[in-house]
Amino acid sequence: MKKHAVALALTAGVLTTSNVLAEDFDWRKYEGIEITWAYDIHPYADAVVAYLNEFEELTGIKVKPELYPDDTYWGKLNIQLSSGSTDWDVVGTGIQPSWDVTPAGQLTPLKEFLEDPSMTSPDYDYEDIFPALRRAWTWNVEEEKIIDTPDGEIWAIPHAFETVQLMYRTDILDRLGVEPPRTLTDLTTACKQITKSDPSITPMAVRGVRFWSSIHTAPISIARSYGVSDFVGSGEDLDTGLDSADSIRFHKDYVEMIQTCAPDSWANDNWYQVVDGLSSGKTAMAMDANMFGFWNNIKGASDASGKIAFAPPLTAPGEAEFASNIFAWSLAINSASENKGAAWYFMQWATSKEMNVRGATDGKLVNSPRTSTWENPAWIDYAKQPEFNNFYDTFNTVLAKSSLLFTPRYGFGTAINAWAVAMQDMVGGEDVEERLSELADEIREELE
Amino acid sequence: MLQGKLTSLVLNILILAVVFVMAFPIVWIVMNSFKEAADINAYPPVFVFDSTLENYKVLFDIADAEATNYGTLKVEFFKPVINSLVISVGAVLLSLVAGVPAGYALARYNFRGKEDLAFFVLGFRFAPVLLVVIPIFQFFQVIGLYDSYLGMIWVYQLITLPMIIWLCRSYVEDIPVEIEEAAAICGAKRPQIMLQVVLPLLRTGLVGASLLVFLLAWHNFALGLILTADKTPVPVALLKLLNPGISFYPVVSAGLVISMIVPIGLIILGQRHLERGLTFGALK
Repeated sequence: MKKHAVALALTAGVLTTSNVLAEDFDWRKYEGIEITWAYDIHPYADAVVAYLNEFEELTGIKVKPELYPDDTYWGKLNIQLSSGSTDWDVVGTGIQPSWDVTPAGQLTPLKEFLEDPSMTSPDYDYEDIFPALRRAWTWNVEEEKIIDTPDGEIWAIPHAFETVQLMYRTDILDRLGVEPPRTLTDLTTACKQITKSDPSITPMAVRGVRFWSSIHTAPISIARSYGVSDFVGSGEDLDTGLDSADSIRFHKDYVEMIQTCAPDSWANDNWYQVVDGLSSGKTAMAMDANMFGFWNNIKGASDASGKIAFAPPLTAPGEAEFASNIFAWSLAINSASENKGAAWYFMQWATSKEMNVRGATDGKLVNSPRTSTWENPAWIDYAKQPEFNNFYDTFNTVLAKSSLLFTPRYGFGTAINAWAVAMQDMVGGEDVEERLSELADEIREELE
Repeated sequence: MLQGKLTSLVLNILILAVVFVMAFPIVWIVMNSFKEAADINAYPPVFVFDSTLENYKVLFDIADAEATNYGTLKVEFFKPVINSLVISVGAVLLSLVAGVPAGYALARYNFRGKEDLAFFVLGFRFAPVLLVVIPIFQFFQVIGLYDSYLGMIWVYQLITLPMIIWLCRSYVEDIPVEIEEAAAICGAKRPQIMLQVVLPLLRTGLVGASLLVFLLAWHNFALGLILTADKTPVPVALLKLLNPGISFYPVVSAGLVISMIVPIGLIILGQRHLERGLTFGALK
């Protein structure tokens, strides 16, 4: 009791101090400036838009959101950044695509802001963000190359992130007497059982489009448990690992799984179709970003509410350890922005502890990158509601094994897009070994 | 006689089949726009359902988007409809002003490099829009035309102007030159011949051609995507309705219906002219 009282007193003391310090911070420094914030159309954006008026009242900075749907957003972002346009000040981006833009100087380094007490509110607490995410956004750029170092520059602040998980419809699997699979080959067997019992159900959905986003969800996560890496070695010895024996074994199993489990439309399926299948009950299982399952579980959100459960990503046969790739939606400053100070103010507000908890308990920013959110009782109570099934516990299980499974390097998009194309060819019937060899040659040529 | 009736019956059945195939997606989208998400996702598909106007209310911000579970992002679909109307109508008018004299000149005058020039103009239609849009984006940024009606109307000439020039050339060639010579003999000057003789004869064809290029402009996506922010046209705004956290199909369906209303209305009103525009000049 006494301990609790002390803890409460300490907490209260910290909060009071923080509030005092926060009030001391000059939030009105950039009053009257208007900035444009570009982002993917996403509940993560909703989470911020809902409180924009509060930011404008606090700072006097006007924020104009410019939002585009996923694929379109990436195309437009590339054009905006590469052309040196000053239109966008703050941009939403991810770690992997930023490996291709930071060498060209398109993002503003953020250490300068983070370490300046006149620019960063004392209660911001950057260290509260999960270490793996902070580390993933830290590197240096030298001679158009990514130098992965913990002491490097910081290029963006994680806003929310995604872990790759297996999601399944409990009603469908229960009805058909199918256990959630643990390995890739178990999954193929389960798919056969589902198709035999109810041919109207698509057993499994994963993305298949010719874009790196298809690889960064299911394939890279499962491949890692087979011992596959996109690249091996470092520096001058960097080489692709996609034609290794492990990779051949993984791809043979994965291709068989797609051919057995996925819908005919797989090659054109993006997250829209994957999520749609799960929420409508046309699909029994999906492996993708976990928040899709969460959002569809929200009461009244869809007929799937309360029917989607979560499991760690699939593994190689006989392998107990799973791996889950992460994607971190993050905020960065366009290096051509003429309002970098105001842009940073907006970023620190949008990624603050308070905004993360609010977004999470609003049911939007469900994968907060901040430790404090996951320890916050309001969020724990919300996320543990029955309709979310085992979301909270699975998140914690998977988080321990979640990491960025791609190798930081310039040329990420070219290599991983080529992998997505090769995957389509293999599923289409091309010999796995030969096609992987061609893919590896293609990547090696680019490395030279 | 019997064979004739049988042929007629088979042809009618084929026509019905074609009408069904072509009209079904439109009917289905219209039905979806009045459905709730559960009815859209229902399997097998439902054809009888409790209709709702909620999707249209969200689309035009009449309903509180939050209350309809569509997120907090404001949709404001009325604005892109106005944008598309201004840009498409503006582009067609500018193309008529520039394209009719150009088409007339190509039809009536002989000058060096005429065919090369005509082919060059048509060449704009061959170039993939994405090939030209990025340099245009950079150019517009510098001269301040990015995200402006003027810039969009100008750049839409890539789509509308070649069609107007070529169609107009074909229409003018269809008009006997003797009519113009007769007017000249009566003392009419070249501008008078153009305005009082040629244009009235071209009117039907030009209305049809304008409708045709209006439809091309209305449905263009790539230029609007890259070159606008606030002045977003309808096809880009439609894509912006895809929000991963919500069941977006009902509201997207309502958006599709709205985006179809303007072109379908124009086609119904100008069907006769459109038909004439497509066939004008086809017979020599």
